[in-house]
Amino acid sequence: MGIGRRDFLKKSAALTAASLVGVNLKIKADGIAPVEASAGENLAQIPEEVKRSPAYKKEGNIEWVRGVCRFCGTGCKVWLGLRNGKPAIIRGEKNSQINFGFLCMKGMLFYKIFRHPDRLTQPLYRKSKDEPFKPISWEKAFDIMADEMIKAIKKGEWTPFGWSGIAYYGSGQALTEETYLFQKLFRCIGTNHVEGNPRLCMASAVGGYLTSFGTDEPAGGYADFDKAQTVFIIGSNTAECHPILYRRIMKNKLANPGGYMVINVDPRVSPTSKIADIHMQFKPGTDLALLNAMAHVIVKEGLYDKEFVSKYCSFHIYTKGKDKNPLIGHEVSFEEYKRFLEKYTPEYAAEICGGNITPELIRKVARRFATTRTVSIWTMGLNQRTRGVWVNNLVTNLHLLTGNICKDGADALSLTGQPNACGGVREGGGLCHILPGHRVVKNPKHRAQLEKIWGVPKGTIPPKPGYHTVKMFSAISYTEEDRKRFPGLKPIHFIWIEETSPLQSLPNMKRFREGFARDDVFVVVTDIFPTRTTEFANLILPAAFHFEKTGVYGCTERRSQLTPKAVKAPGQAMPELWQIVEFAQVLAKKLKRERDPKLRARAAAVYQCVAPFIEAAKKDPWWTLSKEVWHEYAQKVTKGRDSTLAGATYEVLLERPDGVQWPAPTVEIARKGGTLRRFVVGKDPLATEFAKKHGLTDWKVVDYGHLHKDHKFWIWLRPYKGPAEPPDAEYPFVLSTGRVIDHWHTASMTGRIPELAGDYPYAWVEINPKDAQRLGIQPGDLVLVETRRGKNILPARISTDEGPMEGMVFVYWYDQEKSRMINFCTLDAFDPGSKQPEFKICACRIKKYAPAQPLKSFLVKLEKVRGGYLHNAELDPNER
Amino acid sequence: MKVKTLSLFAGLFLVGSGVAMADQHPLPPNVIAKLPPQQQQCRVCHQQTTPKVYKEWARSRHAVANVRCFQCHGTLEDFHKTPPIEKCMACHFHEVETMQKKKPGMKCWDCHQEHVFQFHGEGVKNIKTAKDFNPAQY
Repeated sequence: MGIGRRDFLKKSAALTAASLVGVNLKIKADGIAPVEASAGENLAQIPEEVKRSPAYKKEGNIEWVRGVCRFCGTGCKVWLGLRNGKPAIIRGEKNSQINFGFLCMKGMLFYKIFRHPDRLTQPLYRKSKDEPFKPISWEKAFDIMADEMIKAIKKGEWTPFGWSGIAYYGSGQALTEETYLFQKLFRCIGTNHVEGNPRLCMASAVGGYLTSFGTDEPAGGYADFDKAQTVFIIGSNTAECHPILYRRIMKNKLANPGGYMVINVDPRVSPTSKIADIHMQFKPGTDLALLNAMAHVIVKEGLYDKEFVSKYCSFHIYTKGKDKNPLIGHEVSFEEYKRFLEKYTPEYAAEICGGNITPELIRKVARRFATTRTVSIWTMGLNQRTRGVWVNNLVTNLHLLTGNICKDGADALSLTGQPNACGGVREGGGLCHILPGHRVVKNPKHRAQLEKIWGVPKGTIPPKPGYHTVKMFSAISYTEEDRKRFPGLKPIHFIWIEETSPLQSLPNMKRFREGFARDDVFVVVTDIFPTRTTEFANLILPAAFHFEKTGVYGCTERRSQLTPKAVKAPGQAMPELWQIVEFAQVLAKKLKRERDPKLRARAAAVYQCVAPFIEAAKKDPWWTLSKEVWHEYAQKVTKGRDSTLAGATYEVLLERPDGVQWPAPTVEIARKGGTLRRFVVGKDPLATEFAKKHGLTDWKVVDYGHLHKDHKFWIWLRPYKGPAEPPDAEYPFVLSTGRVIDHWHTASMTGRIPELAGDYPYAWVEINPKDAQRLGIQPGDLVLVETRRGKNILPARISTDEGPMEGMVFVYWYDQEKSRMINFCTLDAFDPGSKQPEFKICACRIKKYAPAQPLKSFLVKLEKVRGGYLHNAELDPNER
Repeated sequence: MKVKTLSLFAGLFLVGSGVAMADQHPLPPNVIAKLPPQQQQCRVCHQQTTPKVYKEWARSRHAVANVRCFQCHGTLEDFHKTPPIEKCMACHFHEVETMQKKKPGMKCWDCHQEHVFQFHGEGVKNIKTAKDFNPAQY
């Protein structure tokens, strides 16, 4: 099998020639269903229930359907317009309290990828990764998958976390219904190997909220930007990564330049600083010292809110070896906290932080923070760190100390990167240690509650968490180093990856990519386009895109919003929910025939897992199926939990121009938008009820987080600790990575939108002008970036307007071209609590590689070859 | 031109007919593709070639909010010297709708100076750069 040598040579010669002249080869894919709609074809497929709701309208030859944008965690409400039955225009929803009608470039242009010729439209299979893919039917695909999964289960063993040989890896871009049903299926099959890319993006924020509030997710929301006097931005390039929120901050700033202060705290000056009053530029990884120093000033100068601290806060520390539970630690006194802060004088911190940080600047910012209504926002700069949880705690500490929380214009608001990391993965149970409805695997009561709701035997859910992301992928690469790093590591032989491209987005990924290339790992990828991950698949399952299926996204501020089906999916692309339901039935049948009683016993649970949805999957997988899964999740699973969406039915979600914020225990509350301010008695129905139940009659706010038995917010004592791999003589620079506004993550979608791909066809390395001068690097020169793990060759971007501080370089991670995929270089050290890797800091060295020259842009595509299809990356020796 | 704008008004409700024909970018796309990467971005090249226009844009709210050249003028392959007003409608749908109802054929930039997009003034004052915050390092 495989492609012939002649074919290979011909193909690679043609590809090389094409790349030199900058032409995109278009080879018509025989055998794969065509995606482009014919001129007269009507692609509108709008459920009747949607047509009768306020989420639909018709103006002339345009049908408009209302949903939510999927290109960041903001949750902008959009109207997708179908002109003569074809997706043709997107506009913002003016009545949405999120975006007020505004959209960023990604939001206004994504209609262009519905019928992109590269869309995956048919299941593709190959037995060995050396062979070309062949189109197969869905029936055959599920049959093969079930066989391979059972084979992998048998190759592995039964452990306290369930079957060791199989895994699911999901996404913060999957719909809530999808993540919920995927994790339900895998728990019912009998494994807690359930993970998702939010581990790379939000895990430290979860750890931060869990320890500070005793429960996940923020207290306030975006509305606080309008009532705030100070916005404290740390570790976030809001202008590019949450542009519509930044627009809101900008609007407030420009309306009140003297009264509204924007403080940006970042080792790199990003476009976010354009309207900043203060930019605190510190050496990467020293922010724990900086934040403790701010607390030092606030306490020393008596600027803390005495009433709030004494009544609603307590102080905690975790001592390894002494305390059993790192989420609880043990309580200490305010006096002890003061003694802990003694060391963190502004002078001490300024010394550590470097950059433009002076003791006076720290004092100035701390005073402003304490004496005005302040909202803090942060993202990956804090989360993607080996002390991500601690640094999250330290920001929240400042809010608790100063009482800058639970009131208008004041909140510690962690911005979500992805559209459904909060709603789907954090709330829907999409990680190895959590279960849906803010439950945890380790808690036997939580497991029992779910087993009862699902109608499966007690003990179906294994009692111990599965592997977190880095460990999960290490169980696939399974090198000697991996086994040494994770003693007792058991290999994974089957993985189902949904709507994400880990083999571009994981840190230090060379060994993962090598591991995935082996034939003893069966890889299933559900996606809409070929990616750097489908390249290593055995089975590619074509998914329906956003607006081609129905489901809910839950954004940063606990807000859930519905996107209904509006467009006919191309070819045989199907919604993931349908894929799960159909696959589970095939699997159940096969398990029933197994000899091993342990395996056979799982057949009933697997069938029961999807039994309530079989009818809907048959009749209407596009709308009814999602509605029924949501019904189970919202009405049964979240009911009675703090993340309750029991009142947020599809009817309510269709009505609302901006969704519903939980807690929303009743339809009545949900119809009004839910709960804007959490923990406040009189405003949050759960807080009101909780205070009454516990006799806390004079409490204005109450922390009902399940981990905090004292009903108080916790201020944590977290010492300064540097990064895992600081720069040294051999690798003297800090390498940090991030995004640009134009591209979404690995660019598999945005790279196919001409406007966005044209603006940023390649990744760059940003270099400080002083460093560039010293090393003789001119703008546009190709620069070799090397770390202990890998190297990249990238064009240099050098600017005195923006960019990293001296001794630091910054690289964008969307590029799919092999020599510009920066995750070959990044570090996979992770936070011991959140298990989130430290993408933001590792040591590197740089040097000029070649003068500026035209570069080849690259996107992974499928090409027709003899015997089937191969990815262009598989055909090109430079890209393999 | 008049016909085009009139049809545009009609097109607000029957949108589709109002998109203007694409123009030819003065520098052809295949020439731009051969430039070093940095110079391929519209705003980088135009900082040199049309500094006045660049400055106007760079000081606008649009620039601060990251609204870039291609969002109004399109790509090199689908380039519009004068943007079709539908491009404004992704964010300012209701404003355009109201304007067209009141004064058919009117364009946003008839009142809001193009690239700056303000009635009065020259854009956002005090746009900061790295040099402002840490002159020693930039």
